[in-house]
Amino acid sequence: MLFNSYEFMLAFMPVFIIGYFLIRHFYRENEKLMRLCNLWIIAGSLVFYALFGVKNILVLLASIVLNAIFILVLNSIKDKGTNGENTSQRLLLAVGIILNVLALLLFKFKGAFFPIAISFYTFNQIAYLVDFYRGDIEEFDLFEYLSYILFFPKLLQGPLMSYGDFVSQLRDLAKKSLDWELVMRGLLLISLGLFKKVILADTIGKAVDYGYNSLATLGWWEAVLVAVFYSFQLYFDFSGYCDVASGICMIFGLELSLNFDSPYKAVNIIDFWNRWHITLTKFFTRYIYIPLGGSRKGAVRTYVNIMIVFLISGLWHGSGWTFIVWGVMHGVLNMLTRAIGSINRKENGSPVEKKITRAVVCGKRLFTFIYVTIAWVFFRANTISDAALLFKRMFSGGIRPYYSDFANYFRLDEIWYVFKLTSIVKFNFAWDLCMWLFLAFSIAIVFFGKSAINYAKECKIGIGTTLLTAALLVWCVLSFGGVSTFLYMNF
Amino acid sequence: MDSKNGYKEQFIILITLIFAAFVLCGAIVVYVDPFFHYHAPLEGFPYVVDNQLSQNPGMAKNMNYEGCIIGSSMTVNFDTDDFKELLDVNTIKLSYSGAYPKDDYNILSIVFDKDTYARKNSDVKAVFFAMDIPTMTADTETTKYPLPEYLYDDNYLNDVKYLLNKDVLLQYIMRPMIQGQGSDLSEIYASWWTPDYYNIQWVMHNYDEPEYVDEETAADALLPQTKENLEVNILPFVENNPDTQFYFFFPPYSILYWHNVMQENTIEATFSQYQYVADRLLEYDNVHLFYFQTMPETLDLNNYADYTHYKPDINRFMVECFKDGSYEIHSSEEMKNQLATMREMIAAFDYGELLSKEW
Repeated sequence: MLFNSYEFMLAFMPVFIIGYFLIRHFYRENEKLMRLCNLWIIAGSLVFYALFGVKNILVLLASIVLNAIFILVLNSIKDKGTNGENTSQRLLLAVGIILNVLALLLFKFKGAFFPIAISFYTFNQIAYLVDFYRGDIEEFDLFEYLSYILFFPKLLQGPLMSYGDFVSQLRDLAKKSLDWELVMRGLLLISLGLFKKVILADTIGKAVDYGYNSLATLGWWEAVLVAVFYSFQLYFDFSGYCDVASGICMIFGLELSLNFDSPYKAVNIIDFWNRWHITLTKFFTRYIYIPLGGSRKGAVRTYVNIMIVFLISGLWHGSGWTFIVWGVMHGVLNMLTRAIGSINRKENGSPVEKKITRAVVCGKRLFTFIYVTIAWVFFRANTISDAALLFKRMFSGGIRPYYSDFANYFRLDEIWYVFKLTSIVKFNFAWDLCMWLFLAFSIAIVFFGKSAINYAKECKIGIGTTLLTAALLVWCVLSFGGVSTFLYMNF
Repeated sequence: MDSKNGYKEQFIILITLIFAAFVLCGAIVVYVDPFFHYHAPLEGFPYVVDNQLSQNPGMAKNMNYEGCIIGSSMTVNFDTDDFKELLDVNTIKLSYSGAYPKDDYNILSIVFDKDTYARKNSDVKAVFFAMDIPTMTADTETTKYPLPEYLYDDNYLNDVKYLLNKDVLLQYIMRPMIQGQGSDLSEIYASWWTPDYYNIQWVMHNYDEPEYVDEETAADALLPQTKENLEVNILPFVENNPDTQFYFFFPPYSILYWHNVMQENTIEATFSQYQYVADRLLEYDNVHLFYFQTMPETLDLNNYADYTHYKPDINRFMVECFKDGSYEIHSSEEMKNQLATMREMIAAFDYGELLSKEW
């Protein structure tokens, strides 16, 4: 079940939240409260995931059973305290990790079927195994383990939380009472997230799909906009998802790890990866980069380790050369940034120096955004030659006349009808205006706006925010469905 | 916000607003019902009908008609007024572009559902059915395109996808209200080709010749699936409705269609399919079968917009044939003769000259 579906928003989410609060209310004094809350989370999450189909749920359950067996065996070795336990445990851990990774690789590169969210829950499984082996997890608790792996707000796209962070909050959660302020803030955040996903990302996505399907005929500015809009699509899609997940958790009083922190405001590529998919970066650092030696074994090894991490990151995101190029591009700039070091100017200089500093920061942001956008082209393109063709069209595409097919995709009925009811529609530029509005709005949010989660946490809740939440939720729900249309179809 | 009660009040306001908005949207959709899912069309509302997948099931359920047109894009240029004028049958168009037999089955199931408003008002006098032989090898359970299931099933819960739907509200309720003009039901779904497109230059310029297949498909290779589709998706309606007259017709594809068949090396298998389908259909007294592919117009690509799609004049001509019996097949022997004529036409046609020209 997707967040942006009728089933989720109108049925699953209300039932799950009300059910959880009711259990917590009626069993407040009962020692078994925690177990019941956990069971509700596990059952709800299984229903949430099961609606993706039998195959998906079978693979997930197989992963759980397999890992639970490894954990239990690891546990029994620990309990026995026999000689040579470290070797046996290490071997068992290695086999466990290898099996998880093999399953992921198998589905990613060999199978015709790719189970939904396997990348995320596999990483969670590995994190649990390693933490258990290291002793960061003291004892195996089946209910908490299942809640950790299955918890639906983070099941599909993360964040990749550590078991310790998650479970400590989960235990506290059962003791909390309903907080209407958090409910309102959570709903506001959900509405902002849905807006980003349903209205912004999905609309932009249709235009970008058109662009990548029509590479050979794109004008130069269309080619540039296809690349730029794809950067925005990814941003709104992923941050929208994170906002909805965080909003749901906020209603309960649970705080998911921050996964997204205005990444296009980053001043360099290292900064970017501290803001984009933050928990994945932390996962790679903790479980790959540091075990490889991190930066402790000299400059060359550090750079090699960085490249390894980004190559793995590329392959984790998708199979094919395009993802490898994407990973290499990030790895190379990461290495260069580290080698050159950042130029830090003092903030408390003269007014002129301050202006220079601001200009330098703006320049660095712009450079980082452009570089990341170029890398995203490889991430999105089906082949390297498609990516090359898009770049070529940027320089040789020529000018397209009003109105372009690309711009058509931004013409949402609800905006277009406003144009029609006013005199705007009489002007030629009206045909492309929706696209420019999308671009301006995206730039404003991405580069100058406050992050949705900070806004939801800090804003003053009143009738204004209530109206905003209602309007966005209604707009998004009405936009879920659409009407299936097909252009003329040949016989 | 200072007090806990304040947040609770805001929550109540929020839920009330959302609920009110949803009820209002749902009520408007139920009242106008642009897909005719709940009731017959409102008197005077300018309904826009342009979506086969979403609007056909509702039209089949809740409109007044005695006859229906079933089939692929070969049927979209029929004018239902012609059926009224020539055959005195109040007919409705229920075409699905690219229809597979399962699509025909789905819509015929609704057409012959005795519990619908349409059937309570009138029996089905006639069904006009385009029999596209190439689709008879499709899977019996597969539709050409994914259907909006919520408009085809009896589950009221999933109707939320119809009731709370921006496109339904804006494109099918608000837009026609502003424009004040709905679709002419007699001409709905008509293809976008204007008369200028029906010429040999356009057809050949856009023609994509299939690659030649070395291995010939055996004459009987396509029959099992054809039989399955007939028996599962089509014949049950003929058998169960003996009082309904079924006008099956093999659409007049152009002569270029047969070149594709030859390139795919399925010519004997295709002829076997035609003969087999004809033989099976001719078993029923309520079937009228027409084979239009031997029409001389099929030899002139100026009558086409591509290798199969003919101009609307030919649709009108076919309705005239339904009335006067021209091109009707009455026996297996007649079908055999028509197929022999077809073979002669193919043999006599100069494909070399057609394909060697620069168009």
